[in-house]
Amino acid sequence: MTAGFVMMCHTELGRAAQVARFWAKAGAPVVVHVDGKVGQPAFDAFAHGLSDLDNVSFSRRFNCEWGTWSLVAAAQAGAQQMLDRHPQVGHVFLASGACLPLRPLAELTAYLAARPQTDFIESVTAADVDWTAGGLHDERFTLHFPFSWRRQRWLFDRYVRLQRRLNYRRPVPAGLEPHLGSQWWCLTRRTLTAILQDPDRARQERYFRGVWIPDESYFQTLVRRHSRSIESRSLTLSKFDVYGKPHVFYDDHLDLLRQSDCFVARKVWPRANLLYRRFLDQKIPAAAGADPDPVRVDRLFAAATERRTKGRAGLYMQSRFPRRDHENGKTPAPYAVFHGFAEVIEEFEPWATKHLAARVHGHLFAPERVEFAGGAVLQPGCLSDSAALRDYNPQAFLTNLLWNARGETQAFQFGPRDTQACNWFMATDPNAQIAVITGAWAVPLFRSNRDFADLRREGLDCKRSNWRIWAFCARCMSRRGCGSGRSPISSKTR
Amino acid sequence: MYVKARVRIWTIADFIENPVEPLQSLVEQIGPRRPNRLIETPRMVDLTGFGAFLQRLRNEGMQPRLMGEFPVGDHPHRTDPRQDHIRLTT
Repeated sequence: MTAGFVMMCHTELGRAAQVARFWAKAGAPVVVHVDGKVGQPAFDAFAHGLSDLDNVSFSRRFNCEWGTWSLVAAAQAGAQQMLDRHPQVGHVFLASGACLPLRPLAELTAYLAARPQTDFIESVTAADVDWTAGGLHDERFTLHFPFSWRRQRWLFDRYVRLQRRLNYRRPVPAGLEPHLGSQWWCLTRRTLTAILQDPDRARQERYFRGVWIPDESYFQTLVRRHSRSIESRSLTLSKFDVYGKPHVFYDDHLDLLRQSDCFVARKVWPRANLLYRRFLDQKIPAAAGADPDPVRVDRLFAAATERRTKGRAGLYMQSRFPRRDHENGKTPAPYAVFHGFAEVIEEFEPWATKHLAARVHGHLFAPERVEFAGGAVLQPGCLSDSAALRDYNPQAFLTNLLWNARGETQAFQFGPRDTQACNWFMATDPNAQIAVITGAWAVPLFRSNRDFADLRREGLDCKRSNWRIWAFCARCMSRRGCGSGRSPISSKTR
Repeated sequence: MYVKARVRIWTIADFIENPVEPLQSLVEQIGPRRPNRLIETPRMVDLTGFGAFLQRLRNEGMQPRLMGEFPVGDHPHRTDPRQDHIRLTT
């Protein structure tokens, strides 16, 4: 008993030929389906390149379109040809032209020989599926889809909406329970024969021609009728991104793929020369007898997906700019805001610099210039001390400073004279540690020793400072008790 | 959206009365530069006469708010901290 491969090819025929040769030379028969849309010269060249291998044959060509029945028809024809011509085949493995074998054929054959009755096919009840992108789960089986999703998207959407509004439901034939799964399967001769010779096949086909993306449901549903033993997983390692598109493996994934112990991976970038060279080289031994273990791959890709959808805390970039108040963390790390300390304490900044594990800036939002620590003119990331540049987008200034200074806690002074644009941002940021001494703004006025005629002229300033501090505190305490549990305007009671 | 920042607020009167506790909480939250060291309390600004100053502001028709309880009299407000050092509890 051996395994036989049905390969579905439509582009990159050169790579497909390499893979077909790899399996065929190791003794496994290969039936190749080439998309009907591939031109005759290209097909002839491809066929000629494989003509020295007598266990490679070509099946009837269908014009394949994504998401349509043509893909199932092509797989059926290829599988039938495999069963008819190669009686020694025990398992039929459906692969694509972009698949890459990761382990020698002998290991796959031994693995299958130890499980002669097992069908490896991901098959999940439609109701339990959560991976479908686009929102059609069980509706794939109960609506009509006469329009192409790829070419007639507008009509496709309208027609789906119309059927929903009319509450239309197409009946599912008796005896079928819709299942979904990866279209890359490996079925036993017995099960595949039973599916292809099902007395009800004509009716099933009529039904599945109207199902959306039947290549993910035809075999997956019928196998539940005919199989004795289903392992609901694919022997082909494939990953999908958040948009439901297959991930492509590149040369950088070499170690990851090698450690996965999977038999076949899809899909591989056609120009990943290192991958093709390494895995199609028969001389390099692999982990003999190991079970496929894609957990590491799964974990890495899950982490990558999460990073992609959520982004890094506190990183704002053009390619993924978070919505306001829906960031994955507004800032990357805790930072401290001192309100009024420099006014009440002599030499507060030097003291704080000496004793706190933080970079202590002056008033970052001062109207004249940005008072970076040590009087610096520039900070990492080429942040300048220009007040005009800062005020162009104060919030971005703050987040840039914090992002660029990751690893060192930042602290700065703040007061009523400063640009107040970031107050709400800071108040709603769990990383902000805000300490306020109210009333401290009057101390410089008191110490200036100016006569009251001058101070009177600053009366407006006084009013503004009052208001600003009150507003700042109110912001900081709105809808929640603050650290001290008191309202900012109530005086201390003892 | 509501407040998520860690916010602590003292009136200037409360702070001057006892600056050690607030400063200690700051150092503990941000972390000391050199652990296991005593940290000397910083020197407070001399606020002798600040209460009177506030009263004069009021007399001029202004209304300084959020000051806490500052005695109007001329007797100096306590400005020296009761402790010379901040001792970290952690």
